[in-house]
Amino acid sequence: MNEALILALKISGIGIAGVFLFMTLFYFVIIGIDKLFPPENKMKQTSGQSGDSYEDEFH
Amino acid sequence: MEFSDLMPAIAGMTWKHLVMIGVGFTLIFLAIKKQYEPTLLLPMGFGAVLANIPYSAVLTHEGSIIKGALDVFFDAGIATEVFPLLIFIAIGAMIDFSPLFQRPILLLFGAAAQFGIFITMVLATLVGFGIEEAASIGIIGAADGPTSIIVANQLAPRLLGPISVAAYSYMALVPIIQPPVIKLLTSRKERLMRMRSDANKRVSRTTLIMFPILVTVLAGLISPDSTPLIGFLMFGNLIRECGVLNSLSKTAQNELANLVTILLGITIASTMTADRFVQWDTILILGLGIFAFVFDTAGGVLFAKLMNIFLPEDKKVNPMVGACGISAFPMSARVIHGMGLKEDPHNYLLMPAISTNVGGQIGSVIVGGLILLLVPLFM
Repeated sequence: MNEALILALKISGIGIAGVFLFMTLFYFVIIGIDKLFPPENKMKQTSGQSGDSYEDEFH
Repeated sequence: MEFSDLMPAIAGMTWKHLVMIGVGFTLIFLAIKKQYEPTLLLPMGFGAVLANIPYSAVLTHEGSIIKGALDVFFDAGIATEVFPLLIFIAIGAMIDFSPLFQRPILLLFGAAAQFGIFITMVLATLVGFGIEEAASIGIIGAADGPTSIIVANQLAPRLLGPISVAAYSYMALVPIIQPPVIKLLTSRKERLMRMRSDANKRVSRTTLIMFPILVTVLAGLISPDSTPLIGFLMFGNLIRECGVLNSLSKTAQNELANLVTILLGITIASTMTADRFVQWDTILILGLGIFAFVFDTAGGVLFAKLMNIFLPEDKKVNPMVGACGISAFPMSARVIHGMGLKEDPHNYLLMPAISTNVGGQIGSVIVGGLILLLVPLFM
C-alpha cells in the first residue's frame, strides 16, 4: 500500500469519529439549552416556517 | 509587422483555449437553460470565457505592469478566504436552526452523510493523488461550495478550479444523483415509513441565541482550525436570531450574499485557465466528485437503517431522510420530501428532512475544519 493511502485511511478513521463526536456534542448542547431555556411567552413556533423560508441557496 | 503582433489573441489561440471557452459556454447554458446553480455557474462560466481569451488583460501576464482584475480579486478574496467566509455569514443568516430542536437526534445524520468525503479521499489516493490533493477532492462531497474552496485553497491550490466547478455543479445535480442511490438502498416499505411529527414543539428565543454562540465556542476549543468556518456561519445565524439586527440580517441574506456570490463566481474562474484545467486530473476530479455525492447519500441512508434497529417504533426514521445529511441546502430536503410524496401523497417528510439538512450544514463545516487540522498533522 502506498503511503498516501495509509494516511488517507488514518485520516478517514479519525475524521469520521471526529465528526460524530462533534455532532454528539452539539446534540447534548441542544438538549441542554432547550432544558435550561424553556419556551417563554414570546416563543418561536417551529411549525411550518422553515420549509417556506428556504427559497434560495447560496453555498 | 507580423499577424501575432497585430492580433495576439487570435494568433495565440490554441485548442485548449477553445475547449475552455466551450466549458464556459456550457456552464452559462446550464445556468440559464437548466437553472443549475445559476448564481454561481453563470459568473464562473463567463469568467472562464474571460480568462481563456489569450493574453486577456483580466489576468496578469509576464511583463505586464498592471495586475489583471481577476487576479486582484483572487488575491484579495480567495487567497485570503474572505469571499467564502462572507458567504458563510450570508448562509448563517438564512438558516433557521429551530427545526433541529424538534428532533435533535437527526443532527447525527449530518455526520453520517459526510462518509463520502472520506471514501473519496481514499479513492483519490488510489488513483495517484497525494494526500493533500485527495483530501481537497474528497471535500467536494461536503456539498458545500465555500468549504470546498477554503480546503482546496489551503491544501491544493492548483486544483481549486476543477474542485469548485465539481462542487457547485454536483450540488445542482442533487435531484438527479440522490434518488437512484436511495431507491437502490431502500425497500418500498421503508420509503413509505411515516415519521412522528414534532412540528408543534416550541423553542425559546434565548435557546436560538445561545445555540450559535455555544457551538462556536465548543468547536473552536476542540478544533481551532474550524473556527473561521463554523464561526462565520454561526455569526450570521446570531445576527438573524438576536432580534435586534433585522436590517443587518436582511442585508446579509440579500445584498451581501448577492455581491459576494458575483465576485466569488467570477474570481474562481480565474483559476480555470486552459493550462491548469485541460488535464487528465480534471476528468478524474469530476468523476471522483460524483462518487463523493453517491457515498454521502449512501452513508446517510444506511446510518438511518442502522439507527432504526435500536430506535423504538414511534421514533424510527424514514431512511430516505438520512440522505439529507449532506449540506446541499435546502435542495436535498426538497428532493426527499418530493420522493416521500411520490410514494405516498400523504407522507410529509419536509420538516424532518429540513432538520437533517440543517445538521448537514453544520457537519460539512466541521469536516472541513477537521480535514484542515488532520492533514497537516499527518504530513
